[in-house]
Amino acid sequence: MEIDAIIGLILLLGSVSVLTVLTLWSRKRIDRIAEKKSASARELMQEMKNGGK
Amino acid sequence: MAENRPEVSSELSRELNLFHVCMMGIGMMIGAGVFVGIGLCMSKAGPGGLLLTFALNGMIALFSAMSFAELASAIPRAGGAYNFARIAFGRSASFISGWMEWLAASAAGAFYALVLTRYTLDFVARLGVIQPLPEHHLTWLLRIVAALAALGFAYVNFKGSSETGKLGAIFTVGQMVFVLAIGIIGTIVFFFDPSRIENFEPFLGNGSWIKLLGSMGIIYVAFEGFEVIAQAGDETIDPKRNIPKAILYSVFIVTITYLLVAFGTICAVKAGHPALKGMSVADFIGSKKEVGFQAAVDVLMKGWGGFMVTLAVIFSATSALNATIYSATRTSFALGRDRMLPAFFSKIHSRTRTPFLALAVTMLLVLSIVFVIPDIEAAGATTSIMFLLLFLMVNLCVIRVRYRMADELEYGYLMPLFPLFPILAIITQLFMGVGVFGESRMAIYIALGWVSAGFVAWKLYAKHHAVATEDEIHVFEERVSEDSQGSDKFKVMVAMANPRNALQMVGTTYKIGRAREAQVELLHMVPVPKQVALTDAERFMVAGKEAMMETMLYLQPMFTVNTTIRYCRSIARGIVSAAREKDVDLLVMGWHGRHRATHFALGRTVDPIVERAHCDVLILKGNCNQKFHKVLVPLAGGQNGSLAVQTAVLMADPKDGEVTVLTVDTGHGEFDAEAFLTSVGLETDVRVRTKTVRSRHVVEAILEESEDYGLVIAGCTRRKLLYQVTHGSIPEELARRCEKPMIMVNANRGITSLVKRWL
Repeated sequence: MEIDAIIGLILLLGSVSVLTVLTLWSRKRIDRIAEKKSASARELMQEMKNGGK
Repeated sequence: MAENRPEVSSELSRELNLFHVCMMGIGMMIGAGVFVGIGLCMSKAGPGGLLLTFALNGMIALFSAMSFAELASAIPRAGGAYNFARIAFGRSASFISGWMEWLAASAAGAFYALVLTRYTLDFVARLGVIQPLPEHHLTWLLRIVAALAALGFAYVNFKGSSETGKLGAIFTVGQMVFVLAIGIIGTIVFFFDPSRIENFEPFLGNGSWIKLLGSMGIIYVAFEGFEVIAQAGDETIDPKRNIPKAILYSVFIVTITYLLVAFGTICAVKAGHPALKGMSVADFIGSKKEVGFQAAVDVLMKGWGGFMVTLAVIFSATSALNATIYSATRTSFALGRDRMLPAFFSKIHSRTRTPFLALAVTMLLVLSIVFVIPDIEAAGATTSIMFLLLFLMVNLCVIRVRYRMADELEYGYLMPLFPLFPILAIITQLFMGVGVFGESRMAIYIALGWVSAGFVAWKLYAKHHAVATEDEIHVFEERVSEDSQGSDKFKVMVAMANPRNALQMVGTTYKIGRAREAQVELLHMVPVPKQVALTDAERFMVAGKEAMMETMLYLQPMFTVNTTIRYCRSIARGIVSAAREKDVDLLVMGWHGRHRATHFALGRTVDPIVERAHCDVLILKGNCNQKFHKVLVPLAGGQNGSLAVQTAVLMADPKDGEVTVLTVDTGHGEFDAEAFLTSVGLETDVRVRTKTVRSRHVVEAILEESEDYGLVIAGCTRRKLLYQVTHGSIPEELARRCEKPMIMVNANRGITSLVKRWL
């Protein structure tokens, strides 16, 4: 297999993985934030820090 | 009588759920971009490069989508780069964003009109009605028909009819089914004939990695469209949750769909097929450029494919053309409404209730592009580069808004690992812009010319005519003394957020003002709750005005005094903004001393001011309006130390006052207070001495020592507020627990503060 194809496949799988992980991670965050009462960025970051991601 | 008329609030009914808004974004993205893009990208980056183009573009688009999602969740009514930029950076950036958005949407309109016409005429030519069109050039026939198509949709927009979210969702599902069908059929064909993997060799075709960058830049237009979801906040059920989700889901679904279609298209044709005329599959699809996808599907579905693709393109380009003309018109209307463009842009037709003059000028722009652009590729590249610039701006906005307004906005989504992804998006978009420059210089010249024209329009017109919006701070009343005109005196601003405490700041202002021969700026911010319209703010200002007049009685005999009353949604932002506008050297404000919110060191008003003010800040707690014989300055180094000592000297009674610089030796290295005082170079008659106490508990030691003093002066913490939240800070804990009058000082630190404030 040519070197371009190997690099290309790694980039392809990498970018699709990043896309999937970020979408799922963001979804989890949105659902967690929706359950909280406080909602300013500072408060949310503090609560996330205390309660994990 | 009109004033007494009760106000009736109105809002759109919320009917769109997550599926509807998701489909809205997908419908805007899946369309002509992917149909045209497959052939164009194949010609530049080869079969493997085609898959990479969609995968990498999808990832980069997701980075920007995260920024849109975060901003839209916090500011659901203000979707779009124009409004985000106004909130984040002010009017000039907002105008340039709106100006770019106007061309981006207009160029997209021209692009979709040309694609729609190209595919339609190609189909008519296949029926033998007209001569076949030349493959890569825009003929006058094509340009004229495209212009007529654009005018037709302008008429539709003028009549005020447009697709609703639900009807749009049905169209989108139809498009997706077709596109997915092509992808799935191609993939099934591949599984039955695995030898078609050879279609991917060579991986980059005749292209290179640099060509891949250009290919990504040109076809980025296929990922433009998710931002419309940000504008549906008023109609969406549970917008704080559904809007960000829909933005992210739509980019994810569209990217996977594009990858599937690209894979299916490459596998659709078997090498050596007679239709290829001896070419490789990649060369065959690439040679057809914008109609490459149609040619491949035609081979796969033996004559029916071309017909079906033509129908799909006509439907998708039709809906996209309608939406882009609507979007471009709405942007120019907003610029006109805010008087950044002439007022006639916001003129509404009496019968159709549409901004007909904004629509007319927008159509002139669309038609200009249709007749000037050399080919469809350049039209797509122009659209892509404008959207790249717009998304770049939104990525800057999300960083700025998170740092500046973290305490004011209610977020429904916070992106992970902030600010990594906006920064990555900015960098990659800049690289893609460079890639576009290599592929279509015309697009770059048009973009640069338009942005430059925007700056000229801002300087010559918009800057002088723009009107304030709800999001901005309004000056309510301002009195400027004649003596202060053009004065370069030291400026002390006294911010009176709470009129009841105003007189307590007179003594401190008097002492500092006299020593520096200062000019005084009295500022009263009138906070107006979100539920109250800014136009009703006057009723909140009475108490503040009385306090301001009383303060003036004391200060005016000694100093030049200017007064300003402003109303705002956020006191902190209002005070910082006023201090910057007036270019003050020192800001004096009071603090009630109570501490309610656990996430703030001193409070949700004081903390942001200390973080962002561009000048030195003094925060007064308790009654500082008295004579102080003994002043305590706890020091442990730090850049606030100098300001703390200088303030202490001014606050101490000049006749028999004494300042004590206190250091606490905790056993971790003693601070050399004597050397520090020498470096400050005080010139005063007030006695200044140093004292060191040994203790492992710094706050307890200072509190115990402060019992013998009338005033305590300490520097604010230099650490980031988030660090303070997690670890606590000595000066702020001292401020909360100290029962003596106290002054917290925060010195402006030149370039460091400048960078921090900008962020």
